[in-house]
Amino acid sequence: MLDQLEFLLTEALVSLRRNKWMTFAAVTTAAMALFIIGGLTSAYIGLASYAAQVESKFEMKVFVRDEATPDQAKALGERLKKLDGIKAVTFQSKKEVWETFKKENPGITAALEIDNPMPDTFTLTFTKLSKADDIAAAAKKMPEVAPKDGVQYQSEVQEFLDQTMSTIRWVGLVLGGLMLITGGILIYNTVRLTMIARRREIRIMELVGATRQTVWTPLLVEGLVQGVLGAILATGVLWVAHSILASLVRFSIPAASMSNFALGGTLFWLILAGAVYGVGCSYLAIREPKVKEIPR
Amino acid sequence: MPWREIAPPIMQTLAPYITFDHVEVAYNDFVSGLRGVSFQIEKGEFVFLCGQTGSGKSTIIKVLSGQVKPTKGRVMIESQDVGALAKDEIPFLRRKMGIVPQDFGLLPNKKVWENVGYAMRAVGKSRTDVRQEVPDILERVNILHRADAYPTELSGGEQQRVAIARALINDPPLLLADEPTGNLDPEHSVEITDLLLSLHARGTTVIVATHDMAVVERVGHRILRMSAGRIDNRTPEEIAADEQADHNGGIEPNDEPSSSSEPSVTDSEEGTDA
Repeated sequence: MLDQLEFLLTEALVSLRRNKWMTFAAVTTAAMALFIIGGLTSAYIGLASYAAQVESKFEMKVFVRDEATPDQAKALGERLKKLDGIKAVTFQSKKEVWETFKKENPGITAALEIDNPMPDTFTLTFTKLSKADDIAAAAKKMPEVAPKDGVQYQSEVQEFLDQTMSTIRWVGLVLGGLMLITGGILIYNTVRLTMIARRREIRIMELVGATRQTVWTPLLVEGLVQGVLGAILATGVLWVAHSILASLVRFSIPAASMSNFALGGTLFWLILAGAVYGVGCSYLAIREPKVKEIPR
Repeated sequence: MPWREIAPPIMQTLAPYITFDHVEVAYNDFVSGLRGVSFQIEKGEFVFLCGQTGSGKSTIIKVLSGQVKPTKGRVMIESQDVGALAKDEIPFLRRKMGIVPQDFGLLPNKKVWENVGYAMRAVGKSRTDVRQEVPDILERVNILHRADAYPTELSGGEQQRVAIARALINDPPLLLADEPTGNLDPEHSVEITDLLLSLHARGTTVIVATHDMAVVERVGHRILRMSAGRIDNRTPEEIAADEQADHNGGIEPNDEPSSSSEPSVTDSEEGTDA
């Protein structure tokens, strides 16, 4: 068993050594593909976790029109609670709002001898930030809500997050997909070249009665090695890129910090992806029928 | 009787070792390898498949070794239907036979013993098996003294010996040789023929595809003549007469042109064969 394994691995190594430049091309392209996919995935995950944090802190203010009675204000609160995507609704009377404002801004309000200009206010938090626009639109239509600037929230923050994540998704899909196809073609070509370079050996194996597994295994191992080497290279490049980015962020925004690079996790997932990818491409190359006379 | 050759009486009581039953192989609409070939071979026989290039000799070897499936008909080896075997079963069929290809098929970057050892490793034998068995196999074909030479350092006859040695790694009861003397000079042809005869003498069934009639006549074993994908049942005299007639434009010597009632149409005119 071990003896056979040694034979098969030796065969694979001979192939890799014979096609070293093609192997180099396949490994670097696979590495680029995995780098793009890995990098964009971790950026996406980071941004998604940031968005989740923002979501929990994100608030919308809904102001009640001055003429509304307390019962109408209460009914408004009930209706706001029933909207899709709402986590919590809290109410502050115009008096409470004014007191809070005065406390927070004593310099502005101390000299002012005016009546309380603040309306009754509902503060809304969300379970889904993406629903904020719909909720704002629905709230504006409610008759108890102040007609002018009755709803206030930072829609630009939510829009920015949505757009960025959507862009990352698309860029990852297109760039990563293209690189995956390119890397796949290179691994496929490398294995096909190996099959041509080793056609004598393969023919002899077949003539003497070697099983399909014996003929195929070295070629599959070759694809596996290329995929795994590509993954290791991609992880290394990602690690370096992350370190550079982290120091740039520290340098330009001293208060900001980036999360640490998950070296073990990234290496594991990229190696798994690279192995599946390499073996898959080799399998496609081997499955391609040889050009020979096929009787009907 | 669909075939001309008749097995010796002592063998007729046994089931035939190899049976071709109306076997056809069509490569496409225009190219046929075999066109309804039937014959039987008994265990321990030495059979020559003779005929011109493209007559179907090599196709028979390919069908027997599972490299090509019959389009019609049945091929049996020891009551096993070769045409019905699944892809995964073909390697195990091939371990019961030794195949000597026309071009030797040696690996130029490996020494003689490595060429044989490599084939052994490919069928799952260990390094120890290789160390123990390779010298014996090389000795059987009388090439042990060149065990450390590379194929490029060998004569044609020696290369063919190595190819035969490689075919013996599974100790097969059947040896298929495709034009084993095709690339050799007369002296080496005799050498290889003698080697095949010695293997036959040990009980191996040997099937040799050749167009080298000098070898066939020298050995004098059973001959299956092939022509245009069929077994040619004509006697050598009839063949010579037909060839002469072809040479004379279809007119038999001393025949009046008007009295020639049977135009000379040979099988090879019926279509292209592989």
